[in-house]
Amino acid sequence: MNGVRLFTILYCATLAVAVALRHADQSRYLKLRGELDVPARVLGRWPVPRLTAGQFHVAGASFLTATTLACVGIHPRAALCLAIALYFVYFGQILGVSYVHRKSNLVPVILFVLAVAPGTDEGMARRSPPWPLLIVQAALAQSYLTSGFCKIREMGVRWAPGAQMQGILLFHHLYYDLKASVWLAERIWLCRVLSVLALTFELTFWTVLLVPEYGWVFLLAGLTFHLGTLGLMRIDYLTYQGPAFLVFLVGPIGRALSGHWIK
Amino acid sequence: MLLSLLTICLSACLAGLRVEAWPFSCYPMFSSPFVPQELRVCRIALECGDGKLLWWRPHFYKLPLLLGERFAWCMGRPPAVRARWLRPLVQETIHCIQNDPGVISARKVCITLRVVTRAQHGKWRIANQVIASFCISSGQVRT
Repeated sequence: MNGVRLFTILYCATLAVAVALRHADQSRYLKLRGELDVPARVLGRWPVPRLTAGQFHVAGASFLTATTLACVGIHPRAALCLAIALYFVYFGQILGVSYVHRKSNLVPVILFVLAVAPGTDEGMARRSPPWPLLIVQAALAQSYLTSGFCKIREMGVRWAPGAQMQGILLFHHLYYDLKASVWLAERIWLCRVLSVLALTFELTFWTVLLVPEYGWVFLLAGLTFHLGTLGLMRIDYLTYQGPAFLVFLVGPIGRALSGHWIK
Repeated sequence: MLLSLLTICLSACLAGLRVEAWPFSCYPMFSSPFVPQELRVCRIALECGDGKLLWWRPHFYKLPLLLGERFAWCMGRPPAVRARWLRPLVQETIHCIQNDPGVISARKVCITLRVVTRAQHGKWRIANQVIASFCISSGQVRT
């Protein structure tokens, strides 16, 4: 079974749906803040040209078209390369949006891995090597490991006893009036548990590379982690980083499909 | 495979060096200390025509946080520095509020300092204090 092709379909379709659903919102942000935000710089160096509202719509539609073409298999490599270029043009306008800033960083990385992976432009019946999907998992794991490493480097084990989690929850409550956050912040032992779980999740996510057959466990852990940050801190990683988790469903979906569609 | 691995290695190296180079990041969120008793945030409240104070809750909910952090930074500077940074920040805030369809009748913006203190039985108490305000029509700041 061609896992790379299956993931390309799943990832690009989900990404296209996410952009289609969020485009109006993102367009509103551009109208509100376009002139005020500092222009995004690719690799911190090359500024992305500012787009007018009309150009932004065209860029969004083009990104949607490119991901759709990659999804349906019409010149998928060219479509993925185009999607990478359009990612910088389109998302570069709206990096200040809460669910885009840092949350969409894996999009070009994953599109690039798929663009150069063997199997992207082949049929579903062909077998593809496992390494492209492992690299996608490594990209995902690297973002969590980096985040966990930053916490340990700055604070060491002092991050874990619960006071830090209390502070983070209260910080978000002060801005967003989150009742669940302040309820949790009043229970130090729960904060302690959450801190240990969050650190463990971030620092051990990379082990999925050693036991890929347990990918579903990491999928569940990731979904729980991000639903938690969304509910308790209004941090939305699900919209644009969420589709990367589909890499853990490639195996089960592939096995389910291979009995029916793929002969 | 080599190209993909190089991309991941580049990403890891930049993260290790704490370099923020979009689309690569070291994801440093919440790695610096957040001590509850030391939290001091500036939140934006709006004074309505009837004198009532309401928190500004725009659709882009992170805006008050981003603007509030900049207000907090400004208010902690010497007067000369503060004056230089405050004017464009006030204009930016007014622009965002005036273009927020959820805001109906605000006449004044109040920058409110919020701190948390320990109350009894492990509860937290929040204290609010207006530290600066400005009229939406004139942008004249009063501290």
